[in-house]
Amino acid sequence: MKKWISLALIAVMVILAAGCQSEEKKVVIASKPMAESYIVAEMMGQLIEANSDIKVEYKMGIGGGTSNIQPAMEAGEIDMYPEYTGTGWLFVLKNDLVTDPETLYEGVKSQYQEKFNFIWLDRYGFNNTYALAIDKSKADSMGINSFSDLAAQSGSLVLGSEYDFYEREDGFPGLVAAYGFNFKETKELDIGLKYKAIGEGQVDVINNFSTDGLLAEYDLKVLKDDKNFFPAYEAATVIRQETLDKYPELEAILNQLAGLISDEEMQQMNYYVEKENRDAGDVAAEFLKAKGLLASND
Amino acid sequence: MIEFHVVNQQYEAEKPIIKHLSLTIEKGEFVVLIGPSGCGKTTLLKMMNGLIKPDSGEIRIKGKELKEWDPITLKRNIGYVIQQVGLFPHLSIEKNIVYALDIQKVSETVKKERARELIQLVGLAEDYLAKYPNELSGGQKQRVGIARALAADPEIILMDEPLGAVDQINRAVLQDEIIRIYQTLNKTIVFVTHDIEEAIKLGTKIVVMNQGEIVEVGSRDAIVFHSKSHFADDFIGNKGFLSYLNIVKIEQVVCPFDGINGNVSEKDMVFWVTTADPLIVGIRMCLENGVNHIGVRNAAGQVVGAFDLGCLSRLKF
Amino acid sequence: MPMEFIKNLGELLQSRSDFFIELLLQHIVLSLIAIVIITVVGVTTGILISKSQKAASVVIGLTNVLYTIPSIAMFGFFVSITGIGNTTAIIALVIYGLLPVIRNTYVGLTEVDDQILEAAVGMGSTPWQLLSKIQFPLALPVIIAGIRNMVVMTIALAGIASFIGAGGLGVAIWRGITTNFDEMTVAGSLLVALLAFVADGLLGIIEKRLLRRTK
Repeated sequence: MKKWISLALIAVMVILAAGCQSEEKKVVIASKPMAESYIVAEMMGQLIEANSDIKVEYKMGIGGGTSNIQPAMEAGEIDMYPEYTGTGWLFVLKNDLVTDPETLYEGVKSQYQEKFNFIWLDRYGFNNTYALAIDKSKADSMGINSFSDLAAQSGSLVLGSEYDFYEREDGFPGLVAAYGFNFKETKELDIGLKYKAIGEGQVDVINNFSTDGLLAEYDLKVLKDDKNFFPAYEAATVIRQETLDKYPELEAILNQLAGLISDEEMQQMNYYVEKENRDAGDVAAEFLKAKGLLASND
Repeated sequence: MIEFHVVNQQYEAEKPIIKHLSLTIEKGEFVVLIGPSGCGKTTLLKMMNGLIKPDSGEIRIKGKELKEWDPITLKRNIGYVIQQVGLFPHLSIEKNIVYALDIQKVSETVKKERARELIQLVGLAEDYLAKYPNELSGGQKQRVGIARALAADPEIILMDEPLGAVDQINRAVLQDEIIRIYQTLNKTIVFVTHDIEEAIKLGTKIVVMNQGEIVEVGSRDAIVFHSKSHFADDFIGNKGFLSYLNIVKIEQVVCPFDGINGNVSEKDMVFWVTTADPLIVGIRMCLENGVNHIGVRNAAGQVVGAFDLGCLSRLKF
Repeated sequence: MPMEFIKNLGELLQSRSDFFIELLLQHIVLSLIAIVIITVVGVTTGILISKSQKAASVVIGLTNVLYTIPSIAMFGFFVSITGIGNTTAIIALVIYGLLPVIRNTYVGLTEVDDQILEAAVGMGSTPWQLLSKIQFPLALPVIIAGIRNMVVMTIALAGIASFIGAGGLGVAIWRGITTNFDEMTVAGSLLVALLAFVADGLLGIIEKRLLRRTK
């Protein structure tokens, strides 16, 4: 009997200690469970801590991504996180597709403010959307720069992709309808094996994401979606208005990220984390220092 | 001490366990309830400490109606010994013995003293107090069981076939122990058994039951020799008689020398028994040696008289 | 190459030891809170239902069903009610941990020898005395075994909690999975297993101590 009582007392004390956090300045940053998200969230946090006395608490890798982060934002459990315009528009707001990236951004910005009182800060500069990639040298020799170029020469090329892509309306079928692709052969591959397949020459073209870390390793070129078939997934910080009201300095601090990261730079950082297994925080810090936003001694 | 008045009890309709039963148990008696399986003897016993409640009728314990007794207090006032003993395996023998005192929050010193007292009373050495039940034999366990029942010094002790699980040899030994304890402490004991020999050996009052009813009640002598019912007669039978001979002592039938046929004297006696020997020893001695009379001495060695088969008529009942 | 992997693993644990230690502490706190709640609620419930077989079958049946729900589904379900973070994780962990403890408490108490109970009741024990002096001490070995079971399970399950934003070693595991960083995943998993192993060992010692007194 006595053992239980003392264990219970210890537990109570522990709970109290853990729960009793002083009323200090604090924000909670969340991220989706992917390298890119970890990196950007780290950048946000590091900038905040370097430029203010606000403490940052991270909730990294929320399973389910947006579907669990959104309700948490609404409940006030999370203050901000990096999101994509396309995701916000199609998935959260459930609107129909809009192809123009600018319209999309403005649209998502005004509707988020109206509906949730969330603010979309300025975009970081990279667009992590669906893409088609081909070996760089092949692209140069065949003169392929865009989807339309690819479509014209698709008869002599092999496409490799996952089951999902072939099935989704906004995937391959839609793409064919928009561009008139006519690949010599279409192979079905496991997502994890696509890069290997193209590397070994088993396929010529694969679908991927435009900021995939492995793009650099395999020396692939991402083609331009000239008809804007795929929606834009431009990234920016989504933050609660209440949080901005509480700490107005955050807007300026976070907008230092505006237009800061290009597709290639994001690719590179993703590569460091996914392939070289470097810590996302370290990679983020290195980038910020290189851009002069963080003192070298931090 | 305990009275039953037209008590009935049943679990299912049309299958009564106890039927219109009336019985009185006086203080200081050693009452044995005996009968075939299913006769209701255990049920009757358990009604005395409230473990089983009657459906109708009146039961009084120490003058107070059962309904008026607080059930816990009632049980604490009555000792209870069961066949499987039910010692608490996680407690030492000492703690087992004084459990009844422990639940009444008696002080440690009193408990310790009582445990020592009782372990000796039941014939076990003091070093048994530190042992645990799994270290004891069946017979030893039951001795502890009896000690446990005596801890709170209740006036009434109930025993439900306590020796049923003990081996034959130890059973006889324990029976003697129980008799000794009874004679020493003067308790009122109610004892259930299906063993006729045991019943005759132990009981001062024997209650023969059958199918929920009392067939006959009487002293040892009455039941063996003057039974009023066929059933009791058959049930007790020769075994009962034999047991009787084993328990009743020559002391009860010693004849003075001039009271015997043939006018024998002390000098004629070749074989001798003592007053403490059971009748059967005397009878056997006569038969084995082909003599009609044998001499009787008392514990101090003094000659007190003679014994022959005729002396048996001196048995008064 | 396994040797290479192990070497990298060792380097990782060493170079980011602060990170891992913090996660370990979080994991311990998270598990401990759940374990204490489960023990108190579970044992109490087990005691309460030991009086009635009907109540027992209802309660045990219910916890049985909950137990079979895949843990990720359970976590996900509660996220929609209580949001992400430690609170939700604890709620889910408690629900899972209840079954072994309730069931073992119930079984332990009801399997005490009838004759022992009869003797104790016949001697005038109050229901509380019967429970506290006789039934519970005799049921203790079974109850402890159930708790031991539950502790190991809870520590392991807490590893999934980071999926919904709670802390603990699951953070490392999840990070490793989502960034293709195998050494990280293994490091996290290894520490969870180690923690469970140590906890189980400690409880084993406690179990032996208690068994010594209960023959």
